Amino acid sequence: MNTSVNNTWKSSRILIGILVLASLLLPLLFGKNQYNMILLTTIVLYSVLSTAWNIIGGMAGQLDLAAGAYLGLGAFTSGTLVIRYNITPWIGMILGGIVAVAFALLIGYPLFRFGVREVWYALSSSALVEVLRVAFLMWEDVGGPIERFIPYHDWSLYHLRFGTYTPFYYIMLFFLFFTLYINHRIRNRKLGYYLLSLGDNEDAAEVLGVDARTCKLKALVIYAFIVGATGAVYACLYGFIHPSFFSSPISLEVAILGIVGGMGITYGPLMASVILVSAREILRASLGGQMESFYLIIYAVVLIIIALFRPKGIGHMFQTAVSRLAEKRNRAVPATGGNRNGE
Amino acid sequence: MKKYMFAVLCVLFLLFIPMVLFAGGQPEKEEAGGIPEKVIVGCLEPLTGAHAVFGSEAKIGMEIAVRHINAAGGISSLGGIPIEMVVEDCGENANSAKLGAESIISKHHPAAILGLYISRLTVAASEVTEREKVILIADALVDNVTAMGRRYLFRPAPKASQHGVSAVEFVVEAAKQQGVPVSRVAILNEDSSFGRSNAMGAVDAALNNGLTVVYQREYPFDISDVSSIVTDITSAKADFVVHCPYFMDAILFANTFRETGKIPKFIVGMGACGYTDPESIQALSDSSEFYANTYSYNPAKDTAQNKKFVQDFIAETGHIPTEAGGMNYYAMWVLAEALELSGKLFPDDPLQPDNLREAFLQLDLTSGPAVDAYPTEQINFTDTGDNPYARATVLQVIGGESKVVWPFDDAEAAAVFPRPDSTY
Amino acid sequence: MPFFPTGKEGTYIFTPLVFLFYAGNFLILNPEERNINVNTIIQGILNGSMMGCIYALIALGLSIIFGVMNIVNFAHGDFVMLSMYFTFWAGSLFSIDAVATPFITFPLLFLFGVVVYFLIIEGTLRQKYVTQIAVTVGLMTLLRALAQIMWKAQARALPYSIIQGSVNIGEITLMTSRIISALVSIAAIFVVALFFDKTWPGRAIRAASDDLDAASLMGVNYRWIYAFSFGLGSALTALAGGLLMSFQQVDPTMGLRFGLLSWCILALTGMGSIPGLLVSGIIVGSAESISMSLWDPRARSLIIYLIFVLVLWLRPRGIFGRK
Repeated sequence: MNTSVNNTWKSSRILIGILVLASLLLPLLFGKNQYNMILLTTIVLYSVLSTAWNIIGGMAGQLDLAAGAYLGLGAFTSGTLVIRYNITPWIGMILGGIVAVAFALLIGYPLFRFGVREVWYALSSSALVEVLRVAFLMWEDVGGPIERFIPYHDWSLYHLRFGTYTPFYYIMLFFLFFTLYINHRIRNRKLGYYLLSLGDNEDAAEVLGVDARTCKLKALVIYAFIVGATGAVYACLYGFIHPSFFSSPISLEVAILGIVGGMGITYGPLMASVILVSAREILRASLGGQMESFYLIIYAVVLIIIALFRPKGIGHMFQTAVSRLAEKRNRAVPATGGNRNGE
Repeated sequence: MKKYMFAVLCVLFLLFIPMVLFAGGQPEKEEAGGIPEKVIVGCLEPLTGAHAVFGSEAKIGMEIAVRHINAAGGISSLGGIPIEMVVEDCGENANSAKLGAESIISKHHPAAILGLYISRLTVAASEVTEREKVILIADALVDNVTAMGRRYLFRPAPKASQHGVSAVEFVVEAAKQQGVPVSRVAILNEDSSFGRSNAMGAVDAALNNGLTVVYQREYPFDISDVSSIVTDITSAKADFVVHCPYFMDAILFANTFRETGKIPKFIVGMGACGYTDPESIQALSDSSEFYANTYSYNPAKDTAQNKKFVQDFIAETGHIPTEAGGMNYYAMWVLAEALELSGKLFPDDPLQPDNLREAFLQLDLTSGPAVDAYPTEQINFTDTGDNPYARATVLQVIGGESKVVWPFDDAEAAAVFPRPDSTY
Repeated sequence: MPFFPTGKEGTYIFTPLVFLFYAGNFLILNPEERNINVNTIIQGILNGSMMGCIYALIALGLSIIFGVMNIVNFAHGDFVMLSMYFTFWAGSLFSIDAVATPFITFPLLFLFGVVVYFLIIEGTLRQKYVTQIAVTVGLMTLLRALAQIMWKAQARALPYSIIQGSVNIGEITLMTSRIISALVSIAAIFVVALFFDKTWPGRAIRAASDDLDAASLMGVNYRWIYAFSFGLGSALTALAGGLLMSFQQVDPTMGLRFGLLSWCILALTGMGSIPGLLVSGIIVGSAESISMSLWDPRARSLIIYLIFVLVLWLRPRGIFGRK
């Protein structure tokens, strides 16, 4: 199954090109309407986060619930630098990523090194978000309960502040392309195969010589860096920084998108993002006051259903559908030889 | 072959996005200047999430105001046109607040928006309203909302620090009235920007009134055990406590004060989310007695307009208006007055943002329906958008019901001061 | 559940470490801001220890589920929150005191646990471990969101309970509600320990968690064992919930706090030692209380997390290790 998808991937570069072009041109259709633009940007933002999550969650099989922590760290690093020292968020992104990686290693290193069960990693990462939130609330100098505003500019590439959302859309889109590409590279190289084997059966993989700890650490570092860098852009998008950025709900959402999308499948989280984030916005706009917090319930129910019935996720369902349709097509063409009964 | 299937499915799924987006709104229409048929006003409040209770009450306050305004003839200077309200939910985080603001503006192009109750959400949305030049009448009380230099933002309600000041002033006056000496005050607040703003106001007022702040503490609203704080207050020998809690910590404090038996002469909330609202009274039952709290609105103000509002509000919800409802009721009337003024000053293009803003800045109300429902007797705006004549009222739980006890002239019951159950 | 000594060992190593914490806290303080007197510290330790007993009871529920099924129920903290709401409902509906409610809520929550097991947990047992955890994460999100819808931001509390009151020992004030709750928790923990040690069903469960195949051969039906354990683990939160509601209130956000406390206690204790849970509970409870009064009330979760991380850094293999 995996190889067939990879073949499809390789042989449909034209197709990917079309998709990329389409996404680059979307703002031309919708750019005049700021509401649509921020919705698109939000969708792309969540796609970036969940696709990055795929590296640690989908491939390495670690249920990471700390996306909010890394996001907040990136936001605070970059935000503080731009507010206090007028350092551009382009540098802030890199630094934010590095800070996020440092914290990721803080919990990842001991856990991976000593080979504890995944559940402790999930618990620590979930607690990390909450603890950072409190810590930054208490740290008056940089955080504190009052929001810190990033100075407004109508159009400043240096400060990464714009009067419209379109530039943010493009920036996030490039983040997305980058993350998808990284996913693809990892997947089709040694690291990917090692990670997938770990996710399947760690003990067996170790017997075969896979160095569990180093692999997991690598995956964690890549993921944390991407999320941290995204945090920097996130801060500029919203125009302020506040400890509430260390948000458990966002962390949960990212993980849910990753799982529902299909762990290990490159474009799975992207699909899940598009569908679920749009659905959430539709719910917010239409049901409004009738159903409070409804979207979170939908997310949770979807997660439980997927986990129980289709644990391999939407991406895998998509793959299967594609293969089945391709099978039908192939059967319509007379067989050139041999049986084509099975895959 | 596989490629094409893949392509078809990809295109199908990519089409999903436009489907959603087309639900999102049309591109901007060109508005011709001149007098429109009706004034569209946006209501952007948290209708989902943890703060839904505030948002839904705010919405009801606004709806009743719109009914009253239209029944009184609409905006007469514009030919008697009515106000039409459109509602959107701003959710509970900055993301959804921005989305909500963008959505309501792109769909309905309102002349003004009332919202968003929570300061953090208001800050996020105000970036949008400022850029699109839509007047935002804020019911969020944290001081920094008007400190950002927003030109199209106005706040008639008393800000958070003012609540702190009013709480202290009430105690000082009540003490003087009863001949009880008070000189030592303890200040508590939960650690949000709102709590802190309140506390800062209280500290200022304490110093201005010659009191000593003997204890000050900030804590998280989900604190689990406050017995050490209560003990520390007792050791510091505070005469009274000024407190800005959220719901659950208000209950915890009230229970702990009672359980440890260490009750000071008085405990007054400043902008508290607990203590005097019907839910908290129910949760605490008789432990809620004698607690007081500041309000941005006076439910007992003795004017016909106010009474009508209270009546209508009770008819719809079964209880007297809380802050959210009251604040937005008079805010809507303030908007109506500004529209009237704009119609007189700029008859050609009254809804043009800068004109409307100018009308707001020139408002100086000392009578009329807006003032009738307002805690004090004067409404005008400085160029930061605040009302320098704003002040809070104080309610106290007496006999299981909250009653207005301050300002003494407007009170509906005499304040019970000091607490009969105080132990030191 | 087997009674290994490793659990206790871990605890005894950490107790001095955590006491070093208190000293550290002490040294960081700003003297002019706090009344550092011995009474505050003693009061903090006593208060915290009593709360710790209740936390241990909650952690016991988590420990049973983990020990038997190897699943850490992410939603455990929210089960506590749920049980507190059930307590509120039972108490207001039948006008009974908070402490009497467990008679109603215990069986209710047991049933709830069994239903959750059959509906949700069982389906994931054959799948990847990550999926198993993910499903409890989904459950946690679901419970929290439902609570937010039903009860919004308002906290709910029951009227003043009969066990509330205070006792003054010299300069120290202790609240009777805490004392009684702590005693009840300790009693409950020992009853459960006896159950697993002396009774046939208890032993069957321990056997099943040791070696599922062998136990099955002896005629033990693993489905009912798992369901029973999940139910029992959940029902214990009902008892804790009833005790907590006698002096506290409940709101939809409490799940996270109890969750973090339970995991920390579980990590500190390790597998197998039920009395060890009590000791860890007391340590964590007093750490929380002291950090709240001496340092900052918000520091509570920091300290607990710090303990958690320290345990993971310093002694993960002895306590966890792979299966």
